[in-house]
Amino acid sequence: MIGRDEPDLVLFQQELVSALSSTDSPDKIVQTLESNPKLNSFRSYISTFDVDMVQVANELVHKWGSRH
Amino acid sequence: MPEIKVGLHAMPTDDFRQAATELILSDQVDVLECTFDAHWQLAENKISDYQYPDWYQSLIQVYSDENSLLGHAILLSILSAKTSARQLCWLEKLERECIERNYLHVSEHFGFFEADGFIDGAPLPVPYTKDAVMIGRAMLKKMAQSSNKDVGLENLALAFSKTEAQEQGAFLNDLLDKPNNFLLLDLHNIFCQIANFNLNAKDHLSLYPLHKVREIHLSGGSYSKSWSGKRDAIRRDTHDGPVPAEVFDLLDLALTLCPNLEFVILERLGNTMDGEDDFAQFRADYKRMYDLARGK
Repeated sequence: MIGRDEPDLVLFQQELVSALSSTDSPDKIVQTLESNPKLNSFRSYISTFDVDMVQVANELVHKWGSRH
Repeated sequence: MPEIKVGLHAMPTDDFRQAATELILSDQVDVLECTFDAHWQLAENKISDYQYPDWYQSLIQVYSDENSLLGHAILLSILSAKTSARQLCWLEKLERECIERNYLHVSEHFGFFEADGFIDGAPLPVPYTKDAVMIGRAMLKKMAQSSNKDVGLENLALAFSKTEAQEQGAFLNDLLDKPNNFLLLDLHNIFCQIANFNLNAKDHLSLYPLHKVREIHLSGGSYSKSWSGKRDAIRRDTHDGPVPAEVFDLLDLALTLCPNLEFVILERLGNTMDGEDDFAQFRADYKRMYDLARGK
C-alpha cells in the first residue's frame, strides 16, 4: 500500500537489483541470490530463474540503470 | 462492437516525422499515443529543460483537441515495494499533465525498476505474491486519482522463468481489478515469451485476461545471443525493427479473442529508421495492421 512498505519485497528488490548490477556471470548472480540468507522466503522463486533471462536483466540494468 | 481505432505511438524524432507524415495527412491515423513522462525531471520536481520539437507538440495538441490522444508512461515503477519521493512527485506531475492534455486513458508498464535509490530504465519482473498485488493495486488507484482517467498496465516481455511467463496473465488480472482498469496487450512482448520459452501462441495468449484488453501494441524487436547456449537466440523487446510475421499472426488471433478492444497502436523507437526503405517498411507495417484491425 502507498505509504506502507512491504519489508520482504523491499529487501528482495534491493538485493535483486544489487546482484544484477554486478559484473558476475548470470549463474553466479543466481547463486548469490539463492545463498543470500535475507532472501529465504524467495528461495523457491529464485531457484526457477533461467540464466538466459538473468543475462537479459543484467544487460538492461547495466545499460539503463543508475543510482540516485 | 464499435470500430477499432488504429494509430501510432508518436516519437519526437525526425525519422518518425518522415515516416508517419504521409499516414497522418491521409487520415489513416485515428489516434496517437505519446509517452508523456519521458523527459520529466522527477528528482527536483521541476519542469524539464528538454523541449520537444514544435511539430511534435503541435501534432500532440491536435490529437488532444480531437479527443484522440492516448497517454503512455514509463517512469512510475508501479510494483516498487517501497514508495519513493520520486514516485510521489511523478503522481503530482501526472495530475498536471492530465489537466493540460486531454488523454482518453493512461497506461504504465507491469514490473518495477526502482529500488533503494537505484533506477533501472527498464522494468523487471516481480514475484507474484499477495503483497505485490496489494502494492500494484494501491499504485494504480493513486494513478487513477491523479489522472482522473482509466488506467491500464502493459504486459512485460521479460520473465525470469517459463512459469513466471505463464503466471503473468493471472498477476495482471489480479492487479487490474477495478472497472476503470484495462490491459494494454503488447503482442511483441507476448511473442518474446512464446519464442524464448517455446510456448504455443494461442495457449499462451489465453492465459491473459483478454476481456480486459482495451489497447494493443505492435512493434518489432531483435535477437541476442543465448548465454547458456540452450537456445538458438533470445528474442528481445527492443522496438527497433519491422513487425515480424508472427506478431501479425498474433494480432489476427487477438482480434478474435479480445471483445473489448478499442485501440491498436504501432510502436517504433525514435532514431531507429534510416532512410526511405525503412520509412516505407514502417508505413507498410501500419497499413497491414490497419487492414487487419478494420477487418479488410
